[in-house]
Amino acid sequence: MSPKLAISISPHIRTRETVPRIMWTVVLVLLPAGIFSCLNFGWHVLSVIAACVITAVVLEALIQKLRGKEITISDGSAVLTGLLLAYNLSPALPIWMAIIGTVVAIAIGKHAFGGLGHNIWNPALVGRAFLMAAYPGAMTTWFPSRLAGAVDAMTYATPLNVIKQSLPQSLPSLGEMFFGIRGGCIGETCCLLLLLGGLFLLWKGYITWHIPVAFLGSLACFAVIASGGKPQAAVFAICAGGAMLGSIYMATDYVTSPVSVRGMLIFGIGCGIITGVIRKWGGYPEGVCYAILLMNSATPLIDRLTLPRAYGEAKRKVWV
Amino acid sequence: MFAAVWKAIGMPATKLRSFMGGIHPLKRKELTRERPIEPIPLPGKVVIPLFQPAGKEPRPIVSKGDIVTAGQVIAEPQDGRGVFVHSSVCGKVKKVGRFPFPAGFFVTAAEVEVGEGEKPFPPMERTPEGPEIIEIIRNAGIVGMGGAGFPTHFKLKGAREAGVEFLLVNGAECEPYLTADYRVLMERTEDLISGTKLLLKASGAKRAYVAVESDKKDAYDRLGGMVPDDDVIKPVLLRAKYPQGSEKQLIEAVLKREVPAGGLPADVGVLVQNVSTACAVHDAVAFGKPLIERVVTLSGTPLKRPGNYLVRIGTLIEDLMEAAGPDRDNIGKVIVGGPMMGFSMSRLDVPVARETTGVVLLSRVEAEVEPSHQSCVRCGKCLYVCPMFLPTSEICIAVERGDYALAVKLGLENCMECGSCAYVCPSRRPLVQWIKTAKLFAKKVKK
Repeated sequence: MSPKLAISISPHIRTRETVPRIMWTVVLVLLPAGIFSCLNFGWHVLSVIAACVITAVVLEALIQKLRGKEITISDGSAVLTGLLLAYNLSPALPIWMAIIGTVVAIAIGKHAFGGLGHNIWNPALVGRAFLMAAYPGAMTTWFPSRLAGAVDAMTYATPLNVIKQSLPQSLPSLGEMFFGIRGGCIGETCCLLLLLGGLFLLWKGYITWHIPVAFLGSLACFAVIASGGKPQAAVFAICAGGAMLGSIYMATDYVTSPVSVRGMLIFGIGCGIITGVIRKWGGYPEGVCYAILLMNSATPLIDRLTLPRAYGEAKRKVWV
Repeated sequence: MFAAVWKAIGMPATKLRSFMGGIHPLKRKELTRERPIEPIPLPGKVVIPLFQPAGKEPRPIVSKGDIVTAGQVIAEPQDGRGVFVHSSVCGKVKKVGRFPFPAGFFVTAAEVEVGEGEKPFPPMERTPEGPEIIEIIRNAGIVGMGGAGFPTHFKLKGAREAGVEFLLVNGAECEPYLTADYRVLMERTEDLISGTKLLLKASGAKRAYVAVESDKKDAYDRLGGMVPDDDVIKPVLLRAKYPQGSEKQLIEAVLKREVPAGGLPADVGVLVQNVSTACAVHDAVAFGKPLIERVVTLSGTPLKRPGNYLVRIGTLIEDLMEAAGPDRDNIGKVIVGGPMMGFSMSRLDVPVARETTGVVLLSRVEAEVEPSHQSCVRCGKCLYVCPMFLPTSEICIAVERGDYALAVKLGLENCMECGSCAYVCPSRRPLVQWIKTAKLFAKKVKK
């Protein structure tokens, strides 16, 4: 008797990379920045991160159950959304606000559009944008960097605040900026760790260089021009605020960024310029979040205009 | 300095020619690479399919009870594209009827009970010229042996009329597991060169390149030592990458020419033929031997003796498997062809056809079916690997929605189903399955 045989359409072999594997790797790669944040801002940070992650996972399971869909919390995408949102919040934020932000991120940012793969905007940034609008005070109350030594906690401002509002405080050195010895959102300060994590993802092939390089490159160029040609402005611009976190981990989100190489370059440059414009002329000191959200909105259009030229076709097709 | 370091770590000095896109799957060629070509014992019966992928199916001229000899014509072509079909064994015709075929449908075939009376094919005395060679090839029933099975004489005729410049002999063999062409390159090098010369004469091409992937460098070196010095036939080393053996990607890599969409290699002055086909041409012209046997790679972990076997056309997969000592309890999947583009079998009484390059067995663990696929996350990996530069993710989202018109607009019909996209897809989407289905539906919509 012949054995029972499996039948399927080719190909019969596949890579071991799966979406859950990629998501969990990104989560792992992000953890060192979180640990650094606990040291830099104190243990309250940990409870904010835990609140966001737990809320995200529980809510995703709940929504999928209500919608009668398969529960996919083990794929790591909800954990990643929660973690990224936490990294984009002020370390001083009350826990209940963090939870509200996560609810908006998961329920409205992700599942209102149909879940993973269907959302237009990066869910974590939707959560942050909501909190910025709803609780601007709490979102811009900062802890000083513990590693930098004692500073008056009540009046502490981030480096971008200092520049925006022309405060009399002194700015951290570029070295301190790079190593994260400064105030800011939970996960954005330590450029070194974020960069190392990004290089790891690049090496694994989980992200490509196009978006981060285009983003940071255009932001740096913008900063140099805006500062009247000071090269150190470029280093400051890419180390300050959420530029590093945003360009490597948020702008590269598969779902909400273009698929083609040309599309990714356009997307990255757009993000960099909008960030620079908001920082220079906008009402907020930081513009990474809105820059990415705006370019997310343009992604379907960019995708349609940057279809690759098919092999053997004389002309590039435009899909409208 | 960079070049010095490059050389010091043992990298090839020149950049290997290749194409854009493609993947590097796990090759598993070591299972059968060093196994010389070995004939399997004649089975009890063979089922010789009359099917050919282009043109009308040849008409059988034998019926039940007829006695046939190996190499005797059993079916005649019905149109210009058709080729003759021969009995691959001596014996008695048991039935002419419908039999299962590897590609998943039923075709007309002749079942022959194997008897005795095998005779060797004597060498031919005359050396034929161009059009005559094409006629011999047709009479010998030769089709593309790299997997497609397109009638060789018809391809040659078209190439001759178009006045092609180059002949590419395809020894890339990029499918994982398969090593049949590699063994042919190594063991039948002289016949291959002779066949290549015949194909040059038949097609009117001026020069020939024998293309080999870099993981078969020994075959490249061997060829380099054996080709004549007149520079007419030259071996070329290509980067080992899937799907390098695809016709268009091969032309791109060797000649930097792009075949227009919907066009043929002849449109850019090229004719591509597989190495096994070239050897079959040699056999036909030098010995009058029709295409009645071929080298098939039989590989996979459930086999005790995987190898490269010389097999009569029409041998059933179940008989073929016996030669390699299958661990029957551990067979999860039987693939005819390579694992990237081959067909998985639901039954084992399907025959080896002229275009069957290999039979790959996967163990139960290797064959485990993915539980389900997820939504497309638009990671774009399928776009980077597509050798045809198609927006695969978008095509498949359109197909999922049932929007075949949009799928066609995005280039559905340019897809050659190499499977690179589905190989890399982290959401485990059955992209090739959707594309194959959509092609059928798109045809219906057009009608």
